[in-house]
Amino acid sequence: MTPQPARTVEYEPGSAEAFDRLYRDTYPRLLRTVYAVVGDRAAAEDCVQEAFVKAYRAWPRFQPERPAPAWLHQIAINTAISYRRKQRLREVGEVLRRFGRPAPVEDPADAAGRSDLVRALAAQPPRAAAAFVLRHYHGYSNRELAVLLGVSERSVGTWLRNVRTDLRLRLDLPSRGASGVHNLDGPDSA
Amino acid sequence: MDPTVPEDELPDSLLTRLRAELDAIQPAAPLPSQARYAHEQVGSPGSRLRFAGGVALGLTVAFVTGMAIGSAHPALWQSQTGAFQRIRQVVGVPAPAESPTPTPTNEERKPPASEPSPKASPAAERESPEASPRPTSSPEPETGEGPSPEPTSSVEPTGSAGGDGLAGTESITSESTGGD
Repeated sequence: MTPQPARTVEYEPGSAEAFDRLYRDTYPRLLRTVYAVVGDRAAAEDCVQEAFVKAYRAWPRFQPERPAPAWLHQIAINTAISYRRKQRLREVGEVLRRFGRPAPVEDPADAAGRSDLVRALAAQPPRAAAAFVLRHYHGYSNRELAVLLGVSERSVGTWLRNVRTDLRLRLDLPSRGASGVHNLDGPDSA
Repeated sequence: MDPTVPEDELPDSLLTRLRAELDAIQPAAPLPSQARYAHEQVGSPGSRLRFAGGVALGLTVAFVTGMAIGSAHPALWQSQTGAFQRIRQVVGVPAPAESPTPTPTNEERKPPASEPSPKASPAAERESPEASPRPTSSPEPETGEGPSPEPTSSVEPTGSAGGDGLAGTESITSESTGGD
């Protein structure tokens, strides 16, 4: 069920047709990853569209040695990180503006659309949340994540462990070993 | 525990929830024609090509216009005019008669004494010392050093002046008469 990164598909750099194909192939996956990072469907769609605009500008200079979906994931995650940073600044400004007034009530439609898991993921550091989704949903290996996110494998391992621990606490899950576990270290993630 | 070997285990319940949550995000069929990048005109290769063509055309027009009307730099025109006049002198083409413009050219600004010397006839040479007071007023003849050329002053008028020769003959005759 888990979609796999399209690593064998060739995308010719600079070709508009190849970029359209890349868009069709990777848009759903990017949307899910960014949704887990920002926690909002509309914001995720906006970030992914913006990421494709950036990628389209850089498409003639794309190095074909790299997997194009991973490259796009990198751009999308960076865009999502920028969005989260701006959102935090907006929230600080909003707090200052309504200083002394009661906090606005969250829109029930938004609250219903987001599950506890998505909310818990969106509360994680953006790179850690992205690494968690890429590792446990898309099937990237830690080494691939290290290259994609520009950090060491050790950092990736630390992020994943921290996210898992925090999710267990937030979602009130049983600790490791108390229930059945699933090992995602399949052949595709090597 | 070594962090480079992370726990790759996730509770089944959490993994199932994660997949269910993310699988629920089903975007409509992504159409590239509706994507934002498809409407991005700035970075498209066609627009870049058009921009480069426009820049090249503008540069060409500016270059041709500059070649047609010449440079606006005055020094360049002066140097070009001076070179033309030097060529005209070498070839021997006479200068145009009277220029209606009162501004003097480079040739006219030169000392007037240097010009008649190469063109002047011997008769004019003989007349010129008496006509112009400058050769007689030069200090060399009065010191009596003879007709040795003076490199620093204006060479031709002073050196070839008839006054020098006359003075020299007078001194010689006086010495010879005195010696006898």
